[in-house]
Amino acid sequence: MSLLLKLKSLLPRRRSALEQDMRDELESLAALAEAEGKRSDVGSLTRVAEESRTVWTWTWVEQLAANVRYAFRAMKRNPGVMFAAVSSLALGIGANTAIFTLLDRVILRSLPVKDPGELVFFKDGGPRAGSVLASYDSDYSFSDPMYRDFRDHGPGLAGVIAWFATSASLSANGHTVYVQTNLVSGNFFDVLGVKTILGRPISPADDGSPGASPVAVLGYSFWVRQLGADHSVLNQRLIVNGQPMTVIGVAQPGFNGFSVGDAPALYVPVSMESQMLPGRSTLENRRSSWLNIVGRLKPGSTPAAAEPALNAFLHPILEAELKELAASSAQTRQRFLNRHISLVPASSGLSALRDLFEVPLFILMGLVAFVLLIACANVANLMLARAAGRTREISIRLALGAGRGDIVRQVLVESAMLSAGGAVLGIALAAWAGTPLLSMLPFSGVTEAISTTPDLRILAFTTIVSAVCAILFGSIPALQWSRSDVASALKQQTASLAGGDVRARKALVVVQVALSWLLLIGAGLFMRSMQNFKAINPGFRTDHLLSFAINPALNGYDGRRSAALYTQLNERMASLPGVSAATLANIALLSGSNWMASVEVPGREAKDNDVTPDVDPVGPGYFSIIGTPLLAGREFNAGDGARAPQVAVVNEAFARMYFDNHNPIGKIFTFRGAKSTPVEIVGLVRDSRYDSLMDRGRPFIFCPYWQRGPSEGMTFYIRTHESPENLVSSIRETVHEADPDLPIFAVKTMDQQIDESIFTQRIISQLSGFFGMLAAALAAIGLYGVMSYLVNRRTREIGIRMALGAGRALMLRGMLSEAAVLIALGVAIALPASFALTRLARSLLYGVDAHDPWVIAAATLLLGSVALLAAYLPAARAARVDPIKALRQD
Amino acid sequence: MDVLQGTLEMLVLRTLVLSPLHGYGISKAIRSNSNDVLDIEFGSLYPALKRLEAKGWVSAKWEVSESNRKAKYYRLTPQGRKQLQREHSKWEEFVSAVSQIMGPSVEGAKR
Repeated sequence: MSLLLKLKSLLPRRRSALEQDMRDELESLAALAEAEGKRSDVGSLTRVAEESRTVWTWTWVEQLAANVRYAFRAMKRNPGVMFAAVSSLALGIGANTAIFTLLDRVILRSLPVKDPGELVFFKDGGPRAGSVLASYDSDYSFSDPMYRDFRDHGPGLAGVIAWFATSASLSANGHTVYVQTNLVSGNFFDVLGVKTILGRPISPADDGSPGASPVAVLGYSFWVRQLGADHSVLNQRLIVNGQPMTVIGVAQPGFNGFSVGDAPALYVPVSMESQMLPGRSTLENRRSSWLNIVGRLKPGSTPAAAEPALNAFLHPILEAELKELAASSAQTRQRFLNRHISLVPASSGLSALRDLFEVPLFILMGLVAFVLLIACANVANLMLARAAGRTREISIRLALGAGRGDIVRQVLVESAMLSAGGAVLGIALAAWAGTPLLSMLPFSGVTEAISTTPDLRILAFTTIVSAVCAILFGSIPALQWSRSDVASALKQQTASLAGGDVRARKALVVVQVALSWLLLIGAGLFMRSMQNFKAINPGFRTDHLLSFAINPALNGYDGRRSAALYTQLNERMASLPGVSAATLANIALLSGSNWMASVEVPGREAKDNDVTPDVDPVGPGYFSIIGTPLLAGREFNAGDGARAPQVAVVNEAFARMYFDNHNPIGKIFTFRGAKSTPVEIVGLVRDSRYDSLMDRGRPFIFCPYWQRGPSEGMTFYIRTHESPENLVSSIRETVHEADPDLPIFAVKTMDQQIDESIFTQRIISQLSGFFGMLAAALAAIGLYGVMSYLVNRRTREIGIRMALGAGRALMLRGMLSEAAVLIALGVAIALPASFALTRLARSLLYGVDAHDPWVIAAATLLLGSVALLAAYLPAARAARVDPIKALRQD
Repeated sequence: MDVLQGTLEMLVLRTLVLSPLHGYGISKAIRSNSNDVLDIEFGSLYPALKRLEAKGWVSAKWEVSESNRKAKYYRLTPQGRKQLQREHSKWEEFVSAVSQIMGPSVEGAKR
């Protein structure tokens, strides 16, 4: 009843009726009392009304509304201050929201499946017998027979699934695209609890005999973006890698498999291995490790509890498999038997994207947190400045009986309003910056796989952050206000608080200087690393070099047809106008991909620290066209035919490791396993950077691709006369003429490739530089505010001193040295902190010491000059003070 | 003499048993019925009336007074009557308990 009444009274009409009625009644009663000549009986009507109102209102709601109204009025009087406060908060909160969105989507968030906390990856450090094909990390790769052992008989798990991520060429509506796909076990959808929104998921019946179930479930985002969410796609045929496949369903929205950052277009049963990975047929082969295995723990179980039984189950399997390792050393056999499966939490998936960006994202999160702290200090400073101007008003309120609690509440309401304004703008900023930020990542399709739209989780984060901010910057002025001394403030002619206010503002500036100095140090270190990266000579000529890749095996080409296509395309590329030469290689330079194979050198004992060399099938003239110097011997030539004796070119690191630095020309080695055909070394080239700009001294073997077939497609390298971008369209046309169904991908210049390969460093150095400058600017604004305030406060004192003969230069020096003390204090505080913090970033630094004196000097100089400039403006005003005017003031 | 809040509400309810009254009339009635011992300040009485109205124990209506002025008259509702009975028995219990302890007045008690 009472609650209903209170709720009803929140309605303005109802409210004003009640008020009117009460006023009428009180007036009538006053009239009655007066008629009897007893005015005093009715007492103070206002107070009576006030107290009676509590019957139908919530006092705190009323007071809060009054606080808000009052805050609005105060803000309207000072729009500049409000704009400065809200916009610096918006920048800080926006940056935090944007980076947190990325961090959350890439690293923290659980997969949208049933009970993700129960899922675990199987991980096993090996050694593995036979070949490994890893779509993520070879420690996660297992053979299909071993997967089925665990699925059918593995102890202690509620379900075991397998999957493998690979690319495929897909033809639909007459054109062919290159897409991400997942090969999945028959129980994949069921164990994960993932539904289809159309049709049915893949079932165990689809994962039977090899090649018998050409069915596919479409990924939701692919279905929407590429097929226009067309419902008639169900039961239609798609051409995948040249083979027809029937669409049986569309997966639920948001589900993108286990690999965060990918958005598979298709899910296909593992039984279709040979169709999806042309040339492979390993479903019965225990020597072929490739599938990733995920188990679902029984409810309440833990990885540690489930591991022993699984490993006990694994041991007899390994003993049976050991027979295939008969040729290996006793040591290797023992290590094979000692293999141990550990269960790794799989709730948030697995991803190369995460491995690359985990450290950078956490560092960025730290940087933006610093920026926000600095922004908070600025707002606290602005509020203190405003508080100083409102001392008299506050004192009057206190004198009239407002409690200190009322004053504190008023300040906190004002800071909450500023903070809320900052949060709203910040979320808008983050939503606007989210997609461009994400598309900076060098992962194709990442914007489809990862949404940056703020959802409840993100909004909750921002709300908490801005509430913390409000308390942070609100509590300082609140304390100052509530402590102010009524009597002395009312007596004072100049509006100012006690000295505590200046001390608080100076302390805030010191904190700002310290934080922004730290940010500048970070930015300086990252920029130095970036410069060092750019200065690396990769060991080949990077200018005027264009590359693209094709994978004809995915379009049904066998090895012979592929080789013919490569030769034909290479000749056509070389004859294009504007092209000086063209060649091709299996391993794309600086792309992070590799292909390794063990070798044996007759008469040489294998060593424990031998590094397995990479093997790169390349085209004719590869080294001269790429620009890697040939140190001895020759390149491949027409004499090295497909049936001629096998030849190879090796790099210095290989010669050093396998031939003790002797001239390897004319020497022989064999690839381990298979038919050990002898390979003769005919050339020696200088080491270069292959996998990334970071790697050094990796042994490499180059073979003619027509002698040793490449594993997955080839990358063409085209040396141009003119700007390589100009040739992109004629290259596409040439490939299209050769085979209109052949997708062409990874078209980029070497400069782009280099930029992508050092992307992490680049984005960190750019963003940290941006945030560092932002922080320095905010700190400078803070210092400017405090110095102006000091000058205003001291106008009279300065006037007196100048009247007594102090020179302008002396005044200026005095003010500036006061600012310099604040700056020096900030740096002194930050210096020890920087040693601890830069250690965290060490993994991202290259060729620069975490305590680089140049960086420290540059950051100090930059911050010092910006801050002194900010202090100079008010100080110069102090020096211009006219003593006569100053003395007349007040 | 000061009156506790709960007691004041009970007194108001009791006063309204006899006849509907306006706010000023209630104050006067309490004073005269207590031989001028209880002088309820209007600042306490009026909010108490509003609370009783919100609880539904009294209802109010604009009427014309004996001196031909408009005034808001309060009367007891059936719930108010029940509430008064409850308060009354509680009150009697309380008074008898207290008077058992207090007994006749003690003169010049010394330790």
